[in-house]
Amino acid sequence: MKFLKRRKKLALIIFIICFCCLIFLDRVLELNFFADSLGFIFLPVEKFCIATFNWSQKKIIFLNNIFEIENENIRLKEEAEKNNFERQKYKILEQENQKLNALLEMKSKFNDYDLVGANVIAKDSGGWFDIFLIDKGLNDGIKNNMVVLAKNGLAGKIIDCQKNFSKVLSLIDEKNSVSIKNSRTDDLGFVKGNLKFKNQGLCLVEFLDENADLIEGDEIVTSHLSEIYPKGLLVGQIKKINLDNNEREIILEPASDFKNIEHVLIIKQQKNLEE
Amino acid sequence: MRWLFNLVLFVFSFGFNFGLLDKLELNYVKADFFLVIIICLDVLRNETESILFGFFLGLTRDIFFSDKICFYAAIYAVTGYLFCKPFKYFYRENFFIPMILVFFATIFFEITGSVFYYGFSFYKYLFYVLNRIIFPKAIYNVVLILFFYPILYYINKKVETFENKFIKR
Repeated sequence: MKFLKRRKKLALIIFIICFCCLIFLDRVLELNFFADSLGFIFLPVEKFCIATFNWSQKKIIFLNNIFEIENENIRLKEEAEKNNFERQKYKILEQENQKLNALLEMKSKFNDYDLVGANVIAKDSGGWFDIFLIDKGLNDGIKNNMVVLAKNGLAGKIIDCQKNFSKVLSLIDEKNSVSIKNSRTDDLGFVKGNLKFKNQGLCLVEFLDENADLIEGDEIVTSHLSEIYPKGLLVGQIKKINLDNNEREIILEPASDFKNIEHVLIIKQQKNLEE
Repeated sequence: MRWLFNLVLFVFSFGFNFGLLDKLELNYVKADFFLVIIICLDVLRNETESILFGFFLGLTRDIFFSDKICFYAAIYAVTGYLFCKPFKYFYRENFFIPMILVFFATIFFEITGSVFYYGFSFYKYLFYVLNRIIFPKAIYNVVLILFFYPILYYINKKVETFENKFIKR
């Protein structure tokens, strides 16, 4: 070791020569030992350095563009809000379109009559009278006893007219009585509201012949005997026939849904009669 | 201030009863907000105001939703008068009393109204109506008063404080 200390330079030169020889041999013999060893040590470091550099570069770019990004974020949020609003608007328009289509369909069903459309503006919250208000009155040519139709059939009649609104006595009110006939057998009777079934939106068929042939699902229409109601208007379907002490209780499900009634049509005049 | 409060309450109860309560139907039963308001006024105010309020609320209901005049008005006014009586012995801070009162007031109101409207034919359906309409409606009204009485109590207190300040000046 003393020799090495004294001949430091010589030792270094010999070491470098040996090292170069080894590298040369490594290259000539294609062992690639040194390249692999160096790669093993330096490549991860290099990778780490490049990743750090790329990350830093991105962050610097991000910091440079932060104001632009913020503005873009605000713009995108506004756009999203606008889109949401538009979507809601289309949804409402679609619903309205569906309702109007239903109304148009309803109007086409009653082609023989001169009809006026109206909206239901208020309903009584569970009283003894089943009356609802519509937004058409004397100003629109509405008169007492005009017949009111809803979605699929008869809904009631006008009992009181004011300038801008009218009262409609619905079919399920106890006071309302409609002369009807069974469309299958032509048996005559009356449809009347009933305290027991009123809340469920149902009514009773009364004064029907005891021996009248009747089955559930029979369609009931207005008869020719009524002065107010034109004949042939659909009133509803027989829902159930209860037999109690040999007495028949015939429950009718009206064609109109009184729970969700929103639009109605009022028969102003029958076109044939006008001619 | 008191009359302004009454007017706002009147308009609100009308809109709430015929606009919103119709949509809040539970199992074919709708609450009667007018009764709730009348009972609240019974407790918070005096019988004169309660009767007047009941009469005019009933009258509006008659005008729009019945073919008789003073049918609802009379029943609401009588209910307001009768159910004001027990409050000579109770404190208005007791939130439990209006609940009991509105329960019995609903039963009284519905039975009286039905007897006047249907006459003897009503007895045929008495138990059905009691089970399916009157009791559920009474419970629904109790739930409503549970929400509205504290609010009205608070507003009324504010109105009274304001009035007292005004009188002192």
